[in-house]
Amino acid sequence: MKTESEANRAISLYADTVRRICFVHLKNYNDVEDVFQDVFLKYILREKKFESDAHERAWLIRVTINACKDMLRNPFRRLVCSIEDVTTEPFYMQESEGELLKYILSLPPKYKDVIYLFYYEGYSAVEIAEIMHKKENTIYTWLDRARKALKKQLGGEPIE
Amino acid sequence: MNEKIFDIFDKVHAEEELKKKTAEYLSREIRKRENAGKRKGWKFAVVFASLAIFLLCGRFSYKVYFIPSAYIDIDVNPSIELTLNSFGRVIHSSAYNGDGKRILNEVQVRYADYNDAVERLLTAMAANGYFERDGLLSVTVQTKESSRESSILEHLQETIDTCSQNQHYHTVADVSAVTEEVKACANKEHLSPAKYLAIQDLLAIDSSASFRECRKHSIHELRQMVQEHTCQHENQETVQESEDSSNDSPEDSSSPQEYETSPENGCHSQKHRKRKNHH
Repeated sequence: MKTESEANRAISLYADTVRRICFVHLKNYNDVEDVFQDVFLKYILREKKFESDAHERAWLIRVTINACKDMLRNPFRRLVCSIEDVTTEPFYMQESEGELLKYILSLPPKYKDVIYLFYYEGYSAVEIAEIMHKKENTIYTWLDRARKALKKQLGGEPIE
Repeated sequence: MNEKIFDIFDKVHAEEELKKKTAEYLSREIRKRENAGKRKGWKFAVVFASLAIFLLCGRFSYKVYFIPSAYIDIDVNPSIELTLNSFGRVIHSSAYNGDGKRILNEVQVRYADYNDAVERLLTAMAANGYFERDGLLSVTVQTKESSRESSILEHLQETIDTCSQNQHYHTVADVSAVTEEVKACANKEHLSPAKYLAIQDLLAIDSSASFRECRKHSIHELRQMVQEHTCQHENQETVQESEDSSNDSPEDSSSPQEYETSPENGCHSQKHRKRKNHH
């Protein structure tokens, strides 16, 4: 188990990355809080050492993506919805602007992940394939389909 | 376009409140797990120590319980050996002959107090009519502890007397202690010590007798044979003495000396006498 200082270091380094992945998948802030704490708890409980900082980062990204998917699949969550979901606009829609964001967030989860990892985190298709445990060609396909969907939404504006 | 996508995500940051709450949550979890680990460690240590003590004591107790401390051999015609532990419990029983095996199959004596075990065996023997046939009960005790030896002998005598009263049989009981040497020699021949000594007694006075032939007889028969030989020998001596005295001075020809059979030479109950190997 890691120490408190190691936990604080991880939060300072990776909080924004984890938050962004949560932003891509989750609409409810309570869910974000849960996933955030869950991800860093798993981090401090991990016994094995990371090979490098890049390995550490990739691991956190993968764990966050999986935690978001688990949260969305949670049957209890499906049966119970908070008052915020019903009565208010999603917190993130208020903060973010632009149609592009809206279209990105409307993509299927796996396409959102590859768009984020490719265009923001700067990972190559090969690296994304390793993070998501998929074949390289699958990532290329997903990227291609995501770009085409956004292009269609945006009225033909090219996305490289 | 690529830059736009980058800029959108670049605006998203983790709220300070979220980071603070998470840091506090992790701090609590770390402390909780550290304390649980210590408690677990103590618990584990206590459990392990208890288990170790239990196993050691159990193993020690098991060993002590099953260490032979004394032997009781009962010979009527069923010939049985009981092995006792230091607590006076029967830890093993075996038979020297078929009749003994038959009795042991009928009676459960393992882990019983030796007095109870002897009572059960004698009751079974009486029920099977063994006392009517031979009428002689030989019981020997062998133990290294002399203080225990006399105690066992006394208790056995009481048990035998009580049993004979309750079961309404009459028998002559010979209860005695034997040495470790006698027990070992008897075991070597697969005989009860009482029978072994009876054979030795006969062989000592009857040179024509053989060990192999003698072991076919019961103790009662062996004792009778010893008695007969002893009486014969004494009669011969008496006749010889009479002849010698008649050849000597007349004043010496007094009334024939009466030879009185000392009770110790007879086949009556001999209590608490330690028998040693004649060899």
